[in-house]
Amino acid sequence: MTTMATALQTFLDESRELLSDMELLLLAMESRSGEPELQNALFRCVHTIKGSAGMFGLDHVVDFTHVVENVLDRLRAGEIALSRDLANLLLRCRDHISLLVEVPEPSEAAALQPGGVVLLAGLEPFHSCAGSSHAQTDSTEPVAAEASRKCRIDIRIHADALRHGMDPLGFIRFLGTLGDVAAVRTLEEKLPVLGDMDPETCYLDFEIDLVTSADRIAIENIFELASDLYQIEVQDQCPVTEVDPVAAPLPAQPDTDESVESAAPGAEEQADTSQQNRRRKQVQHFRIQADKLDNLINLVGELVISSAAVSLGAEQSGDTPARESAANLNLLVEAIRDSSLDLRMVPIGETFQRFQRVVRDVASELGKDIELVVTGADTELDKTVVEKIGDPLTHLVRNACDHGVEAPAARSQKGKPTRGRVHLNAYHESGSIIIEVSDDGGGLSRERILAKAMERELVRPDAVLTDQDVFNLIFEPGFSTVEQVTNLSGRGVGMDVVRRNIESLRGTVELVSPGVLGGTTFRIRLPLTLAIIDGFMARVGDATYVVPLEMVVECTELSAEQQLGAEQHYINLRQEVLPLIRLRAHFKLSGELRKRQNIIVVRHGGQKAGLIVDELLGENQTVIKPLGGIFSNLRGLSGSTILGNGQVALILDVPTLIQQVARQEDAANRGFQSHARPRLSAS
Amino acid sequence: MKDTLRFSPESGCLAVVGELTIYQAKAAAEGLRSAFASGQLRHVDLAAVTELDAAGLQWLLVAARLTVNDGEPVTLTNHSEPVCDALALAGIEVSS
Amino acid sequence: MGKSILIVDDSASIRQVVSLTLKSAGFDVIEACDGQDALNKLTGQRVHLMISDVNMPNMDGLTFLREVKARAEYKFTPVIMLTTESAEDKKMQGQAGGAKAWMVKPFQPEQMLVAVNKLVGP
Repeated sequence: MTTMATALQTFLDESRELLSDMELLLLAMESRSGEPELQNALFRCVHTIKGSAGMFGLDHVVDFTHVVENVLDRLRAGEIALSRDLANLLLRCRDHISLLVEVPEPSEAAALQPGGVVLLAGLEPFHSCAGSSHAQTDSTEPVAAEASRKCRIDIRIHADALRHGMDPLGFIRFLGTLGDVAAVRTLEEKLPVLGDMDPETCYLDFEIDLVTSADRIAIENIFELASDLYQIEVQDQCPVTEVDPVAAPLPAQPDTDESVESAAPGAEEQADTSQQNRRRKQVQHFRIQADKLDNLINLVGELVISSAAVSLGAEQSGDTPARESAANLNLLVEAIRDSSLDLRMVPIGETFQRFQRVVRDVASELGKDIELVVTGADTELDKTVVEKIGDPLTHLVRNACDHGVEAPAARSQKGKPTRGRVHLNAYHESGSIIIEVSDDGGGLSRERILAKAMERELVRPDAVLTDQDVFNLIFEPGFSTVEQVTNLSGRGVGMDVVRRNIESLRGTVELVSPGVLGGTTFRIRLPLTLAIIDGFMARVGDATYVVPLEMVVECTELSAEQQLGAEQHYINLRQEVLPLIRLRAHFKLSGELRKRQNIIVVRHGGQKAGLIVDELLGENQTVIKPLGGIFSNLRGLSGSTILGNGQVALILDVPTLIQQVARQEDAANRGFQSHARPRLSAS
Repeated sequence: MKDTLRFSPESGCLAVVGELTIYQAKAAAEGLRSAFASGQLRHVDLAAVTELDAAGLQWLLVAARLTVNDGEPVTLTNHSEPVCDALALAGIEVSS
Repeated sequence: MGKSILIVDDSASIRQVVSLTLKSAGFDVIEACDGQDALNKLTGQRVHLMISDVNMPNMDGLTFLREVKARAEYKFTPVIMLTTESAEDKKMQGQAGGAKAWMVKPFQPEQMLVAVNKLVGP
């Protein structure tokens, strides 16, 4: 059900979309300013916002957009040109409109006024006379009450009025809303005889006596809508002090349409269905509120759990029909789960496009010329992931502009084009989305990073590190390679924060140099969704743990001779040395060690490890619930889930677990620990 | 679309069925002309008129001016409610 | 069943407000986001009034007006064109010839209802 509140929400959504279009158009026009398509589209953005804002009575939006619209109108008419200054100004106006639009109450817009005044002053040279934007709304002002009197209204009607559907009877009926229609005279002098008549031409004029307190303007305004077709003359006649109550209002019009429909019901129906058919052919989009969708996903989560409970019950009952039904139900629930999650998938393109502005602003701040290239904009991922990836991405893009792309002078020295490039790319890879931020700069200097790391005592001088190990050092807390801290990257947010943000999304980030464009490439790997995963369950003691299935490489039951000693940290699995993570020890669980142990081999970001568990329980669908407060400090857990039998299982945070082992090992390699250990095996 | 006008020469009755608006104006004028040309037209039955606009009003006014058999006027009969409403709006009294 | 009104505007919020206003007054409303969409949705059903924006992507209001008026079933349907005070719109208004109903945006929903009542009754 649409209400004014939802309509207002639509206005907000629509304005946000238009404003983001406006930004892109302005940026595109910097190189293609002469294209009428772009000019018109740009005009339409502001035009639509102004028009809609007016409908909601958002005068603060109307007043400001009116001036901007005027400038854009002149721009597309070719009266002014889009200079770089004007583009900058319009971008700032765009930002201001987006502030205005978000203001919930017009009364609160006052705080934004000073900013608006400055921008309007800047626009002054570009707009023509600032005509009133309220010319039309003024006419809705209540009409000044005049004394009730009788007016003579002469209505002369254009011959084409009927052809344009402007039926005089409708206007006469409407006059009744202004007062009492005392008399109507139909003037048929022009009406020819049947033989000479063009039945579609209007031959009639009218004279009406109206008893009203409305002034002449109000009466004339009734016909303003069709002012080309109606000539109106209003003459005041004798004032009346008392409106005659006997002059009864015209009888209400009966609902003629009902009888129209019953006259030709078949035809109506036919029209309806053909209309539906045609509708079906178009791809239709409609908006839904995000929280409705989240609610659906939550319910689907509960459904998945219930369905697991049903399966469990059916399994235990041993009843074959029940088990078959449960299996069927399971398939359907899985399908519903996938479709529901798919609803929340959005292309990453919109997020990427935001960076056009970031790159532009950063580049001009740094005195560099940088172009942002976007590919893979159609790649979809969960809306909740999209919302959270913005900040880390911004940091990486800024970093690429700042530290990646060299200054123009340095670039020409190297024989590169002065215009640098930053590339945003996205694609799907085995249940994950990969987002790459690349630059065509000089790449990373192993020596500089290493020197810095040693200076910061992050590594020992005699440590033996691969290039990858060195590059990953920049994700360590408090690492920065550029001596001169620029105002862009020196904001106290380091790469360690970027990594932490990405890991909190169950993702990873790695650095490749030389990267895709020759400089560096940051590669972010994220799960497609945060809500539901396929999991693999295992038991340790009394507790059940879930490992995201996509990270499981294999499961092995250790044979009697393979059983591990309590101090053994590595195992040789088919000629591969695998570090071990003892979940029982890690989570400090009590209970006897089982005689037979099992290993779940997990992989994340190119590294493998073996998780030692008591019992393998198999796959299930896992609905991820956030961890409660008491668990939030526990490293190695990413969430919880409820099993079909109602028990809570904990979801293992494999990336953290692996990193923990990796870090111990790195430390060993850097020589902080005395006994050497074999390196993590790379997959 | 169904014919707006049904003329039965035996009774001399021209019945208007459904809407009588700008959309039907051309057909209604044609129908009136041919009924009148037949020489049989005596009255116009408005009982089944569901909607009347100014184009329909003009048609009624033109029809009411027609005379047959040496000055005998064609009569309009059985005004439906929509017809009465439109006539009232136009300030035209229905003489029955 | 109420009288049927078509609203063509590329702004979803304008469509919603107009639609809401008209529906609350008992009209049936068909919404279309541009001229082409409107033409697709007009499949011969009776429409008592059309309200169309002038400046729209894909198919602008004047092209829509021309096309829809070429169809016998909509030849006489009244049309309110929504316009603004921009120069371009004024130019288009000139090209459209005089005999149309125009409404200047922004307008209040009540103004629209008043206009509709004038043309097609309550």
